[in-house]
Amino acid sequence: MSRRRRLTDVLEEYIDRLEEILEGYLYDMEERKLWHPSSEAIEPLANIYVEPREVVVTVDMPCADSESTHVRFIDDNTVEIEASLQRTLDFSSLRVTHRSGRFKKYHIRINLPVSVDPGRASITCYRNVLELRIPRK
Amino acid sequence: MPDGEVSIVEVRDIGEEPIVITGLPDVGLVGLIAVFHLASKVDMEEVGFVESDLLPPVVVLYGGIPKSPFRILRSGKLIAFVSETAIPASAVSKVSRAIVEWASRKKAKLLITLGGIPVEERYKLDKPRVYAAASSREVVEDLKAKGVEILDRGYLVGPYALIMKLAPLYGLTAIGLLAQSFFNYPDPDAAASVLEGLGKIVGLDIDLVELREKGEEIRLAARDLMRRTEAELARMRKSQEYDIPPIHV
Repeated sequence: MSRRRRLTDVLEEYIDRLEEILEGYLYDMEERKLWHPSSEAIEPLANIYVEPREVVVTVDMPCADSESTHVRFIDDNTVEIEASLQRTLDFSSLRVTHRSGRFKKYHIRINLPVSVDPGRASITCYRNVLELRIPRK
Repeated sequence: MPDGEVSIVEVRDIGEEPIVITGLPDVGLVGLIAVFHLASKVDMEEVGFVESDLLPPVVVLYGGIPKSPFRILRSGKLIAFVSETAIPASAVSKVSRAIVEWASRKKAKLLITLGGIPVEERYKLDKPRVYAAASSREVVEDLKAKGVEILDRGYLVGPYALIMKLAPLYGLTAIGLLAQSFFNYPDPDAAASVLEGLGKIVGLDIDLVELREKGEEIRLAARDLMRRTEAELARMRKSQEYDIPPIHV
């Protein structure tokens, strides 16, 4: 009985820890700033899907000039994506008058959870949603 | 108001037998974008707001005037609940019940929740399709007759799931109108599709040209709310909508 009790305690502690990790991740996501006036850049919303044979990254870049998209692999687990905006944006154009800052581009650095083969990556843009498909190593 | 309760405050008279629609922050912010566009096209006025200590301590400034981010709009018999702030997962149940109870007191003719249903590779779809679920078989058949596709099987998670579950218990008819959408990118095209579906059901011809033309600007402006909503979607285990229900024998 006492052994079963101990196992239950261990399991509950494990679940509590997982909940703490999830909550920490969600808090970081909520509080991360997407507007970076000092570098005139906006961080786009992005998703990473790890498939059996490839990693698919999508990046939402509304109002970007898709022809200017630049994808650069820093290593087998890190990719940097940048694209110019079609026109320079400032806070006042969003009717926010108490902050100053202008934005010329999207920029994001993405850490991939598995190693990939950057040389075989394919890039497609669908109405300014970028799709990056990269075979896994 | 006691702690943990949700109160619906009317600042102008709201008559009986309205058609109530909801556009709450959810996948792709579909319902929210749809209601704001509808409000601009049919000239909706503010008639109330939702108040609760379960909601974030947030106001939205319009011309220097603080307003509740969770407001009630009206145009004739059409009443819309819309929120400009993410609804905490812990508050979703009480907020949904409060809306249904209020709609019941108003003898609402119809309760329609506007939203998105997330699909893989949404970006490859030119025009998202709209599906409906409803609180009774009769309404499902009526929707089919009007040319609306039915969401036959699947899970629904969040306010619109609860509203549809609770509505029949209060003698109300509820319809969930859901367009194929992005999970966590604002989706004005899905909002346009869902408004087309709404138009078929309530007999409204809604001008969608501006919504489609300004889609990219809306996507850009709605990113911050989308990110905060995404965190609450994760807390309410929204990804279950991708799951396949077991087959009943």
